[in-house]
Amino acid sequence: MVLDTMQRLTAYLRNRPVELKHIKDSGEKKIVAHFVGDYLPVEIIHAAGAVPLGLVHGGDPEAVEAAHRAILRYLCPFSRAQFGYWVLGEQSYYSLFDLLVAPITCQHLRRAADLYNVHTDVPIFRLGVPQPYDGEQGAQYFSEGLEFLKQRVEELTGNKVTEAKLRESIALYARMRDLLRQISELRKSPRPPITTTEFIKLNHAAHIADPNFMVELLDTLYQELRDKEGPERTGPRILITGPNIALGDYKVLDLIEECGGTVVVEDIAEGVIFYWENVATDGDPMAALVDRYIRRRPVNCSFMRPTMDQHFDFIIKLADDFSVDGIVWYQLRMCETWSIESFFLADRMKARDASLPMLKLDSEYDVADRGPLRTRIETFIETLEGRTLACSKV
Amino acid sequence: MFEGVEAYRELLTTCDFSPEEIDNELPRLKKAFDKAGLTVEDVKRCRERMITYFEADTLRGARMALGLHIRAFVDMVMAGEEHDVRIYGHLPLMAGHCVLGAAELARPDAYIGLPDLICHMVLGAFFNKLDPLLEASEAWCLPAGLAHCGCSQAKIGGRLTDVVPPATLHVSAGNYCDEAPKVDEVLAYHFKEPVVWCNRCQDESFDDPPMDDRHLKYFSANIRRTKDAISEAVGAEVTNQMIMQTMMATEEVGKEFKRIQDYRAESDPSPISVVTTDMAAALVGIDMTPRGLSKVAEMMKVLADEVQDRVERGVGVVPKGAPRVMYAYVLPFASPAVGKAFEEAGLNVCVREGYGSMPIWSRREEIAKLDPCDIVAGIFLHNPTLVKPRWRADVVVLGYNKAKLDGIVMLPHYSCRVFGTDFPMMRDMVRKELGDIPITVLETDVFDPRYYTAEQARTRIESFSEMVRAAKASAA
Ligand code: SF4
Ligand code: SF4
Repeated sequence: MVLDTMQRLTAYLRNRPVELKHIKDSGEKKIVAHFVGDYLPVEIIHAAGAVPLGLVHGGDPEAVEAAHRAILRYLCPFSRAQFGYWVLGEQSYYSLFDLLVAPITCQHLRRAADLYNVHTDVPIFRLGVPQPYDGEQGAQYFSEGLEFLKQRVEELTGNKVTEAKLRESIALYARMRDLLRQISELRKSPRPPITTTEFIKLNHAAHIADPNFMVELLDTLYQELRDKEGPERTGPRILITGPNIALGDYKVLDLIEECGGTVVVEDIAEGVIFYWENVATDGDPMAALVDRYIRRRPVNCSFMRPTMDQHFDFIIKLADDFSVDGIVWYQLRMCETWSIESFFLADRMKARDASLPMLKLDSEYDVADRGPLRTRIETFIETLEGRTLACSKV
Repeated sequence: MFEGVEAYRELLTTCDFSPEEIDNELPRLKKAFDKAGLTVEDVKRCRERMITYFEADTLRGARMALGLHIRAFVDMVMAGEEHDVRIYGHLPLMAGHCVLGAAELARPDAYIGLPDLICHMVLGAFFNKLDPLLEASEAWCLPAGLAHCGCSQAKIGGRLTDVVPPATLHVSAGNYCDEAPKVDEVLAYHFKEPVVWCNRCQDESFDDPPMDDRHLKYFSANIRRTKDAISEAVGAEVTNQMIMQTMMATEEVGKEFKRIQDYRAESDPSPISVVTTDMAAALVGIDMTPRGLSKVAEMMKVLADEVQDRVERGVGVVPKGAPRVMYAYVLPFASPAVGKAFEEAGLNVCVREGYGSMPIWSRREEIAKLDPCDIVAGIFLHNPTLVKPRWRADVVVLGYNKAKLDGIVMLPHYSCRVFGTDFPMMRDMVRKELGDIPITVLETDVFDPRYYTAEQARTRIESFSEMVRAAKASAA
């Protein structure tokens, strides 16, 4: 059954580019792509009758390489790939959109947006993302930005974003997040009925698929999984944290599983960060969006400041809730802010009496990474296994 | 007296200290140099570098500028012992200098400074001894190989090695890159030193005019908050009037500096080395207090007069008729030899990116009606170099045409996602406007001398020089 539902999703996603191409060519709807990272309320795009499309692909060294014609190498591979896919012209999602919304989060994605400006005719909308430190004034700025975004998508689609439509979209996405969280929490079980790779793929799909389809699929899946137990697993339980794990960047997840570990939860933008907190479905809808996306985030990404206290405490809590034995910190090379934060997590855990072994990895999406990554992951899992064994003897 | 005292005296003489000043300052200076691990041999080498790269043997203005740098370094190292309140700005402090500098008027006994730049100039450019700071931070939270910028590494290294004493308040530039404000979070998180972030959202449209009211308001509100945090830290209000007074002091420096820039842009042969000019200009960022700025203005006037004298005598640092090129945006502080290599390759590096664009002060009357925090925000948001690549490219084209140049040197700063990554885009946009003119995108490192040396750069600079000459010859 579960297999059927996942296969249904795979089949749907295989056909999604064709479907979107048809939507675009027929003029039925506009396609509004956006850089992911959970700072953009896609509900507004959906309420305008456009198709929101999260650009979630990555992990492909060729896309990174293709961007080098136009940019230097010290952007992270994910952001380079966001432009590289357009250059390559081989990934249909990257040539289908009528508008690209770029939340100005880190400098890397800001540069990716600039590259589209310089080298393509794609219209770009930049959404200012204030720092958490900026408090209410920042929230106000964000709120104004959302009004501009609303106007922009209204102009693009010719549809008004009415309060009623926005409420509907908020409710739809809220349902999707609730379902993702419910499925996610099933992994607290000693025998998780779904692997984290599968679960992250659901999150990726949520950025690409029609949200109605997604809600129906997640609902079915949840019903199927809720009383099910997965295979018995004896290896250590791992929390993976990092800026993102893109669609196609499954190398580290696969290696952890191959080496005997079980990833039970992910602290990434296309995971926990997306579904952990929800948008309130009552009250003023625009205010509710500002509230969820700025004030009440589960955690702020590390390009924000200050974030370390909040981020580390969130990781520690998550590790506790999911009975984690070790942490894999998986960052992308050249992502300076994650690199800085990584140094301080171990101390924080010590201070909170929650010391867990941690392995820090980084990737350039290079095929040559695989060997060295495997060696390091193997050693880490062995260390954890030794530790788990020792604990169980006590 | 101490061993090697003569070398110290010679250095200070080269830095235009009078004999009385040398007697007075020597004990402090020795203590500060010792703290920073600078030896007699370093002192001797430093003096040689001042002569080799910064025209210390021929220009008194250059010597005065070098002296101001050295004084700033000693003041910074000794600030822990000499001042109860220490407020640090940090690179890239592209806005709010005047707010920071004005703190001196509110609390004259406070130390106000920009340790990052001081370390880069003195330990980096003059002593070539920045490595211990860089290595200290690499061994800690900013490892090598992950493109952490040397600027941030020196900041953390300065604190780890105690070359830079603890701060009462750090003013962090949250208006530009991600690296610097994140590293400043480390100062708060680990060193427990308060930080105020002066943020802006960089969501200006790529093509439309540089700013609108909304961007200005948001940024100026951040500057106001910065001002309040500084007031609190110094225990006295930094008033609008103090900020205006500091701005005026900056303007005095700007006037003299503009004379030098104009001579450089308009004279043949070029009367002063680009390396000397940049070294003198860096002082505006180093001592932004009214007291400090008045000394910088005095130095700048002496230097401008000397440059004028050279122009009148037809004296130059490169041969007459040398091809004229623009550089964008910063030559490596850490390796002054890179700047020199352009001149040694026979190029007249006569204008910097931004040349020919409208200075904000030409709108002075309109601006005078504004709140000073709005003005500071406006100055920043009106600076093409700091805001967006499209506008930067436009300004480069403007400067290229206005100064009738022969080529453009773009110097991406390795590891800087802001200053580094603009350039390939700018090159493409400039080429669209100007056609196939000689442009080189030469990656260097502004702050870290270990990765890009002048020797590595020299081959590319020489090829570029040949390309410019060939283009010039065929145009003729
Ligand atoms: S990985 Fe880091 S640098 Fe790259 S897009 Fe994410 S936050 Fe930005
Ligand atoms: S060099 Fe670049 S990244 Fe480093 S502090 Fe300066 S602007 Fe930021």
